[in-house]
This record gives sequence, C-alpha cells and structure tokens, in this order.
Amino acid sequence: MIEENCLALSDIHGWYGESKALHGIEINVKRGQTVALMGRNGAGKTTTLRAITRQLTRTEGSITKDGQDISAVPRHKLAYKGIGFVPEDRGTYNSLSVQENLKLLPKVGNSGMSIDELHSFFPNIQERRHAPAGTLSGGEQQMLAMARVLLAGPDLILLDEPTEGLAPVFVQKIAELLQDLKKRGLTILLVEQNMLFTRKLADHFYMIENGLVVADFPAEELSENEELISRVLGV
Amino acid sequence: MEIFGISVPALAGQLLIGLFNGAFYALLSLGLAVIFGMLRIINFAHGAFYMLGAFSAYMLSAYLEASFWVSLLIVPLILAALAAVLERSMLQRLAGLDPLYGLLLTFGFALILEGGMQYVFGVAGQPYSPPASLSGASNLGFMFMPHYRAFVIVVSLIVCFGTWLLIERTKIGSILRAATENPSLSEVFGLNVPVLITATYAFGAALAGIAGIMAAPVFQVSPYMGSNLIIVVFAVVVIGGMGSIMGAIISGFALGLVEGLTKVIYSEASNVVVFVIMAIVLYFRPAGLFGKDA
Repeated sequence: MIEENCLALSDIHGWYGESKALHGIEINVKRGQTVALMGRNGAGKTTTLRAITRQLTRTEGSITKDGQDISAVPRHKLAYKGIGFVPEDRGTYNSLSVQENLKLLPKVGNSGMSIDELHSFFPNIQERRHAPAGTLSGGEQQMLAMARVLLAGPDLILLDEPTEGLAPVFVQKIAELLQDLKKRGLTILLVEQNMLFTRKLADHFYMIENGLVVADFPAEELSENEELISRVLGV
Repeated sequence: MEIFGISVPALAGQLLIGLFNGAFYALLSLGLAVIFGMLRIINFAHGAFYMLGAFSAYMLSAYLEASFWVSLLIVPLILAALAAVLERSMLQRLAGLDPLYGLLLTFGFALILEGGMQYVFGVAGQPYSPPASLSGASNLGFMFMPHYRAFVIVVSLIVCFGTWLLIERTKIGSILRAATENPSLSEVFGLNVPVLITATYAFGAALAGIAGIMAAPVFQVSPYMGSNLIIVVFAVVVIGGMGSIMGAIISGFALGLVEGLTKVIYSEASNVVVFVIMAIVLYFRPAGLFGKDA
C-alpha cells in the first residue's frame, strides 16, 4: 500500500523576475507513485519543476522531500536529497562526450539502474559513448539524459516532457523504461501534455492552469474526468 | 653555415630566447584562457598575479631564506589563496553581469597591487638568483643552452600540457566544462558550482604564480613587470582563441618563436609582430585560431 509522501508542495508561489507564474501550487507525490502534472503550454508545469529545483528568481511556500523541508537547501545539495532531474531541453552537455555526460553526476543512491542494465536498455548510448553529446539525435539525447540521472541513483525523478518532439520509436522506448522504473519502486513526477503517453503510466493526475492546480484525481477516475482533461489540455 | 644570412648559432640562440619567452606567454595565456574559458572573466589582474609570484619568491628568499625550489611549491599556493579571496569576496558578486564589470574590477585590483608593491619596494628591480643547480650552460655543438632556460621551457611544457590533460581528459575537467556550459543546471545535478568557480580562478592565478617565480631569476622583479607583459599575453590569447586551452599553449610557444625569429630577421618589428599577427588573425578568423566559433 502506497501511503507515505515522497514529495509535497504546499502553497507554492513562483516568480520569473517580476512576473508571477505560480499561484499556490499544491501537489503530493506518494512514495513509489508516478504522478503526472498536465496542462497546456504556459500553464506552469515546467515552472513547478523549476520551483522544486530552485531555478526561479523567487519561490515561496513549502517543499518537503520525505517529510523534510528542502525549500532552504542550497541548490547543489538537492541532488543529495535523492532528487533527479531531466529537464525539458534534456540538459545534456554538448561539449562533453556521451561517456563524460554519463559519469558526470555524483552518485546519490542505489535506486537507479546499473551501467550494464542501462547499456542493454539504451544500446545506442553504448555505441556512441565517445561521440560529443551535441551530435546525438533528440531521441538519443533524451535517452542519455535519462540514463545519466538513473546512474546517479535518485529515488525521486522529475521528468519534464520526455516525449516532446521525439519519434514514436523513442516515445515507446521511454514508456517501457518508465514502466520498468515503476516496477522498481522509483517515484516519478512527470510533466507532460501527451495524454496518450501518460494515461498508461501515471497513478495520479494533477491538472494545472494559470499556475494553479485546478483538479487532481487517481488513475482509476481517469474516464470520469475526460471532459475536464479535454478542457485543460485543449484537445 | 648560415640561414637567412645569419649564422646558425646566432639564429638558434634567438630561437631559444623566443622559446623561453614563449614559455611565459604560454603559461600566462593558459591561465587567462582557463579563467575566461571556464568563468567568462577577463582577468586583468593576471599580470599583477605574475608580478606577485615573482615578488613572493623574492620575499621568501630575502626574509625567510627559502630556496627557489621551496618557493616553486609555496608561491603558487599563495597566489591561489589570494585569488580565492578575491573571487569569493568580490568577483562572485559580479556573476551574471556583463564581463566588462569583471574586467574593470580586476583591472582596479591590478592597479592596487602594483601601486602597493611600488610603495613598499619602489620601481627599481629586485635581484633574485637562479638555483645553483641550474647555473651554467651546455654546449650543444651549434649553440650554448643555458640550463635555467631549458628548465623553464620544460617546466612550462609540463605544466601546460598537464593542465590541458586535466581539463580535457579527466573527470574534474569534465565537471568544470559542464559547470561552464550550464551553471544552474549543473548545480541541480549536485555540482557545487561556486566552489568550482573559486577553484578555477585560484588555479589560473597559481599558473601566473609559477610563471612569476620562474621569471624572477631572469627578468627584474619589479612592480610593473606584469603590466609590461600582459598586453602581449592578451594578444596571444586572442590569437589562440579566447578560452581555448590548446590555443593558448600552442600560440604562446609559437608566437615566442616568431618574435625571436623577427628579432633576427628584422629586429625593429619584434615588438609589434605579435600585434600584427593578432590583427591578421582577427580579420580572417575573429574567434581566433583555435576558438570554438572559428
């Protein structure tokens, strides 16, 4: 039975410079859950992840990880709290080789995959380990970004639109990987607009509009909320 | 035997001097390239760090009777500590602002250091003897090779290529390059970027310190020895490509040789040849010979 909160955001307000983008976000991610944060472009999904990872000009509210307040933890120590982050633009370092990217992050836990498991999951990464990351395709860069964070071994992964702009073959690969990670008990906060991708993965859904959560429901209630989803996502 | 109408011993001697000067250009431009490449700071205090390296060696010798070898170990640490204090207390506050602010701050810092040393020691050069074990010269048949000059060239080569290996081929180097490429994301990934920045700046200053102590036995130890050299070194960095480690090393040695050769062929041009080359390089390759946008 999943009960314990791994990540809890309470009354989060966030700013880019003088512009306020989050207006009191409330999100609970229970240990072992995959939680989807969904909304249109500009709704505040990525900004919410940036608030967690302390990349906004100003953030107010409470962010707890495993019950411990992390709002004042220095940014470089967040990873050591077991938080892994795969940003929207993949965040791969183009001037570094694939192998250098993979070895870059400090080891913060053991909840990820071993290097052998990763190589079997991402054979392209193994084959291109000496190539500069900037020469990889978008799909390969996404694989690299995921592999890199898994090697670090966090128990919570923040994933920002992992399927954006990817060919179906890569989307399928990422879905398989996330299913595998779920089985391993990793906690995932997934920002997405692709409902087809998310509905097979998420245990709980948060719908966000104008920097505010407008609804949340478990996966079992997905069909009852189709109208709301259509309205929020504009599909 | 003659080349360009000049005897081989005379030509070889000038090329050796060129290579010797190039060793200093390479060491100093390497420090500048490391600091600019990693931190985007145009470090005008670099010449003052070089001067302080020489003065530190002089003071360690004069007041504590420390040998050249002891100074060679201690002086880079002194310079690194001073640079770390400067970076932590002042330069760090300029993060995210136009690089011009860093340039002005380091330029002001250089003026303070030079003025302070002039106040204490005056403008006249201070003597500093090379270590006895490196005195004398060897006859190579076609020229005499002073041992100390050979030592400087070898140490410079080792330090330069060691630094290149450190930055391009080790995990520490990849961490530094990652922190340069995307500092805020690197922090989210668990890299302590502020400490890396301080360490990089301190390392660059330590390189200037090594150059300073090696210069002390040959050039006059004076408050303005750095400011006389730093303009040429900036030209070397621009020719190599701002921020390019290998560019700084190769350009440093190559331009030292070109300068030496010019002294033989047309000595009147030897003081400007580096700047002429800089103008030509900037015209055809604005990012420098090894710059990333070249």
